Amino acid sequence: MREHFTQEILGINQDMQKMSVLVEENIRRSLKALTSQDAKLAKEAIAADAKVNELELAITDRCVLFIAKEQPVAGDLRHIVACLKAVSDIERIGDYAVHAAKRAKELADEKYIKPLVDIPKMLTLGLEMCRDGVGSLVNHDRALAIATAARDADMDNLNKQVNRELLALMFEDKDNIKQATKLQFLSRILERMGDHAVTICSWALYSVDGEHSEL
Amino acid sequence: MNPETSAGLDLKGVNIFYGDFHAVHNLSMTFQSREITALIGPSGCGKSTLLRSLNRMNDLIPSSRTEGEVIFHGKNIYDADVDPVQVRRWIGMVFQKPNPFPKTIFENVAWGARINGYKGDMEELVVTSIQRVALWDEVKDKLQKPALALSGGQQQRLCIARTIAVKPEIILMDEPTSALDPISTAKIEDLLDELKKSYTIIIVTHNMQQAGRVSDKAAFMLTGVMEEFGPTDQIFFNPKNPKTEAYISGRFG
Repeated sequence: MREHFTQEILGINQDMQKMSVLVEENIRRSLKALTSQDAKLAKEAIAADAKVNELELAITDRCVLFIAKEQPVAGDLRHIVACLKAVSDIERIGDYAVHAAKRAKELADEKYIKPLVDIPKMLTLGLEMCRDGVGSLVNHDRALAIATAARDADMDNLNKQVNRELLALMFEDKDNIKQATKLQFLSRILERMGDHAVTICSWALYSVDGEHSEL
Repeated sequence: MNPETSAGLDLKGVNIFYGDFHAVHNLSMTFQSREITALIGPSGCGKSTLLRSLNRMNDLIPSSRTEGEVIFHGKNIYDADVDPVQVRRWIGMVFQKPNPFPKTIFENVAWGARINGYKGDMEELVVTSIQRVALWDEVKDKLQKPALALSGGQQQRLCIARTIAVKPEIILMDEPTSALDPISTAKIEDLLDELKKSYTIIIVTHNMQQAGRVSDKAAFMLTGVMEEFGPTDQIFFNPKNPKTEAYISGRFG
């Protein structure tokens, strides 16, 4: 029963996953642009964010229209509200991918003061946390939400590690300060990717349990 | 029974039969005083049967039999020494379709009080009752006009005025807005909010949004069984019973 109702929820879930995939692709572009110092690819990543922003608005409108026309209740309502909230977090993760691309563009012609190891790890981790957070939301997967949120500790540790190394490099040679500061800022931004993925996971739990959970 | 004290209803092991058909199964619950409780469930689940048992309207159906207790002011309304007509004064009912008498607006409201031998100021009673249902401004200049000339929404508010004119403590409502347009429905819903300050209200509705909007508690019935009963916020936000969730979200019924 309520075939259209069910189809519309499925459609919203597909849009959420589509948005997540767009963000994941852009994180990959930014990652490659950083590691291969490819300014052209960085520009592509910056431009591609427009599609993410468009989809955020489209999903928001779709959810609002669904509430207005179908008047969902209980688990369905919680799920739509969770999607409405989480879609902003996905969009912010997309913005952080753009930030990484901008740094890649700035640093494309500079020699790195150290090989980039942990920052690419952070980008990959952010990508996976975003993918799994959205997956846990659309699939009502409690265990995946909790496991994904737990990975934020790795993200925090990577951020600390990057900062320690960059600080040492700045003490070592003041000429490193300019680039190290940029990389430190990038690391802090990437750490925020993890925080937004955790928020997506907490919305997934809200959708399943009907309660706000601290993750 | 002492109508001066609290005015809820306690059901203890209520079973209702129509001949051999077991319509309501072993139901125990409390309708709290000055709250609105919505009875929800698919057609044939027993909610209207239950509602009619609360003021012994089922007595009027020859094959109907009610077992268990419906306690009102500490007394089972089904006890042999209780007059069912008196029960219906304390516990009034508003029906799905507005059913004013083919009389004037004034006489419709005065009727119940008059046959009960009301000795007070009848005009004051009628005016107050009509004012309480927010109908006064619309009918004050035509109290002697036929009630049947009113719109459906006005007729239903008049029927509510007629019900409260006999000063009940509990009002039972069987889909009171299902025959009304959205504006008239909104007026009745606003009225319910006002009435619950003075009366205990039990409403049967098929409109889930209405149940969510107007009630403090909601009870979901299925095939004569009370599947879930709790605060409306919980029933509509996070029901404990998957059958309740399936029903309120329109997946069956």
